[in-house]
Amino acid sequence: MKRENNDTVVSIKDLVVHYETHEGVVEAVNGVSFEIKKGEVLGLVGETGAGKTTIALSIMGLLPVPPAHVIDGEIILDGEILLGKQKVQKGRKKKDVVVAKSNHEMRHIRGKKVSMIFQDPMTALNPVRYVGDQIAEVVELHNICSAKEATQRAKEMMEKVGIPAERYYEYPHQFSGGMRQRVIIAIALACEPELLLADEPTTALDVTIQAQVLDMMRTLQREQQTALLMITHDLGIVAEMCDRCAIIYGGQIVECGDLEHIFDRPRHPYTRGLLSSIPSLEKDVSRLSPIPGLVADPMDLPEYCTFYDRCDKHCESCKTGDPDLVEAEPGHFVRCFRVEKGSV
Amino acid sequence: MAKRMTPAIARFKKKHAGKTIQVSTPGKEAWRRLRRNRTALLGLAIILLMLIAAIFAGWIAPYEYQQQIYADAYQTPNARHLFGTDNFGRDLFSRCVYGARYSLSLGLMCVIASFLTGGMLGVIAGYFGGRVDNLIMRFMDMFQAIPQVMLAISITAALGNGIPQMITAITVSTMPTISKNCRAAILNVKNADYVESSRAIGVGRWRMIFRHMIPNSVGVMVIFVVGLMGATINMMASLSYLGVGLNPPTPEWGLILSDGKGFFTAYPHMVLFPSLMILFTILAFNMLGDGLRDAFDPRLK
Amino acid sequence: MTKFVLRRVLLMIPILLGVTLLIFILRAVTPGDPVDSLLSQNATPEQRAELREELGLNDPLVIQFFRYVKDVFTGDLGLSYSTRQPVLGEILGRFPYTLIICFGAVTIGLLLGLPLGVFSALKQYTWVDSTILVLSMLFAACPGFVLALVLITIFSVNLGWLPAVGLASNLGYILPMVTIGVSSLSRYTRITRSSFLEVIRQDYIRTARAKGQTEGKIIIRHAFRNAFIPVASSIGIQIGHQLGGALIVETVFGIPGIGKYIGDAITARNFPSVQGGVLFLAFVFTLINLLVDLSFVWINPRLKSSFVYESESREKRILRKGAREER
Repeated sequence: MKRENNDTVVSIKDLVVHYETHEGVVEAVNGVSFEIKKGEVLGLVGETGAGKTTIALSIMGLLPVPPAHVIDGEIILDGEILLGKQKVQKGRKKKDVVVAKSNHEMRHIRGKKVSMIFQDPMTALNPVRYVGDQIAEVVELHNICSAKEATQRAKEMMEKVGIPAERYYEYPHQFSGGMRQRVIIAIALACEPELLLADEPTTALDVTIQAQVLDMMRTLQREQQTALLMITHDLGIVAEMCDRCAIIYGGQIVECGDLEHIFDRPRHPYTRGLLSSIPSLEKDVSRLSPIPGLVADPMDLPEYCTFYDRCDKHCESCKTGDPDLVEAEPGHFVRCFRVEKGSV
Repeated sequence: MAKRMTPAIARFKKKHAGKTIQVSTPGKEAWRRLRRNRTALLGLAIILLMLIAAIFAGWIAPYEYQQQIYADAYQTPNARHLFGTDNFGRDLFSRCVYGARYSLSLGLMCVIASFLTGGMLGVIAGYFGGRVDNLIMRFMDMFQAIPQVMLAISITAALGNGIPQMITAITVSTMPTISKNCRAAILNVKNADYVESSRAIGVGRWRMIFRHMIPNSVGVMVIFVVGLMGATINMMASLSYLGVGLNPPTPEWGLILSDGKGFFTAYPHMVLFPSLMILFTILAFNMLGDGLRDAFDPRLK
Repeated sequence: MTKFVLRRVLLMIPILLGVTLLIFILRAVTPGDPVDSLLSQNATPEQRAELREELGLNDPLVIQFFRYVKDVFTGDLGLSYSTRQPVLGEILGRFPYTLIICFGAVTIGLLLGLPLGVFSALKQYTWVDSTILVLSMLFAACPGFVLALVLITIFSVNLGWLPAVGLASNLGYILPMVTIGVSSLSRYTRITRSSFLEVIRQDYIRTARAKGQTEGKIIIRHAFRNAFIPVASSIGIQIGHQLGGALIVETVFGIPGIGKYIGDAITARNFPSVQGGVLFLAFVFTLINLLVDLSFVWINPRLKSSFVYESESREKRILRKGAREER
């Protein structure tokens, strides 16, 4: 089932994911849609608990089920439907049921077509196996080749991410955090995937190392023309790395657009709040202006605009319902009643 | 900057108006989790039952434990003798009930003694570290080089039979494990960030030990005591079975079993009932210990 | 690495010396005169004095201790009171039986315990898992002699398949092996299960899944070796339990191993044999523990480098100490 637009690597439509726990239902992702084109970098920005990682894990098909449940949505990767609605005969009626690819099918996609870089490099590598073997493993799995070729490819990848190939036979604990993250990136890119999901890849690293790792990622991404989903809470990284950016709050995209849209003409109060929370070297402000309150509790989301509780520009009409994502200018989408009404 | 009032803050204030915030201590949390653990509760119930038997043995047991009724010897379980009688015509039910008193109290004494010796040494080693730690731990290595049961047996063999001798033997042989565990518990707490930070604000040594280190390692120690009770009762029974430790006619379960082992092909009940008592008691302590471990450290579940 | 091995081997010496001292003290505090056990009731005082002199019992305790240590180093563990034969020779003659039983028990424990633990973890929250857990709890709580009596009742008395006592045929090994093996089997099962459950939730397992690895290979290649680390560190303790358990089980089944030798010697108040036997077992146990620890380095690569970088950690210790003194 090939799609017309060959440029699009991944498209996600109306993804809804809930976690059903003993304490209640966590509405982690509530109708998220986006597309990433070949070679494009999309930044996904949000606070802890906004649902960023859940989106990435849904694409990978690695959501912990249970407690996670995909309620609705469609994920198409490179023309293949990873997750989609199917008519299923249920009793006498036909019902729409969300069907994901089986684990068995997903195995051939993970690591080959889509890879993921995890947040904590300290725990993401197996402590009792050589780092080189851990890179070679993914090559061996997907590029049907001999162990020797896989080893060769792993060494090549190590050099590419800036690790001397001699360190093939070393264990993860002999590597620093930045070096481990390089190994993980090498694993992720070894099979030249169409899509790379980077889940806060540099949060656990020192700032100087961060820059190096990001730089290296950017180079490799351009070289392989990989589509990249960059999950982060750091707008600085977005400015550095991304072509487009989506701001996510309470499991919804609240604003989405090109970098200039987000940084120069932010429309959503949350985006503005985020931007004004960044310390600036140029402007001499005595105090930063943080966003008041706490992140919306995904276990207890309001009926109305999720950001209403923390919004300093809210008005009574904001409580009437959930705003839609509207196009404020070409390519710039905002989810806010005031934009809908054209008052900003 | 002006203070902004958003609905979230307003809602929070309204929700918590006039309410004192309930603080859940780790102990309360653990108890809450323990109550949901059926295995642990079963263990606790068995232990309580044994405790009742131990305390009220005089009322529960129909006969005295050493009372010999020759006419009733070799009886299999019946209405008059619930667990049957042994070769001397002693009522096995009464002996087992009194046995609870002996086994539990002796076990408890051993555990307390081990804690006062091995546990304290472990705490000292862990707290002071350095040379003291090294000395104490090498000393414990020496004891640990001999398998536990073997050590206990050679001590009783040297000291002779009797209650204080047996307590000494078991205490010495469990000392290495308990000191190592206590040391680990203290080290764990000692290097924790909150201890580090209270040190940074100038909390004194004794306050540190009593307000921070001991309360925070209590969980581990409780788990350990419960586990140790099971192990101690096991060892005591093993010693009695081999004929070292206690003298007859003490109604300790291992000894009752040992008395009956000569007749067990013909009269299995003489062995069966004390065996079951030993088995269930150890099982109960293990179940409770496991439950406590899960309750204090839910991550391990 | 060689340095580490050497250090561990050298560390055995003070430990064994300590054990010797301990045993010597036990002998010294033992009430009663050893001469009484050696000579008949109607021996003359001259004979007794002569024997005391011969055994060196008139010398100060310190000298007796050093002589004992010297004797131990030359392989002389003294004469058995009951047979008047050298204790070491008797022990070496009986050790193979104990070794075979313990080896069988270790094999049963590990070969069955590890797969059962993994299986139980994979089936978490199912009735299979609960059954395995309950059974392993029951067997872990069961004292060796109780289990031995149960097995004898079933397999010897009722079914008549296996001999209850003695080693008339090699079948006689089975019940003792099973008795000791089962209790360590249940411990290994439980440790493997909980450590496997812990490992399977680690990030690197998720990494392996993200690579597209199959579940089976994830278990074998990634989870198992990590889950084995806590199991391996309990093997030493388990072997200690098994050697101690051998004493009881050999007595129950009438196997002429070291356990029974020591047990008999205790009843006969034959102290040189008790002490020689315990010392010998302590030596074996320490040696086994050393081997277990060395293989542990191979199982857990993180340990190896902690030896390589030992000097570094010493540096850190000094730094920390300095910081403490500043406060």
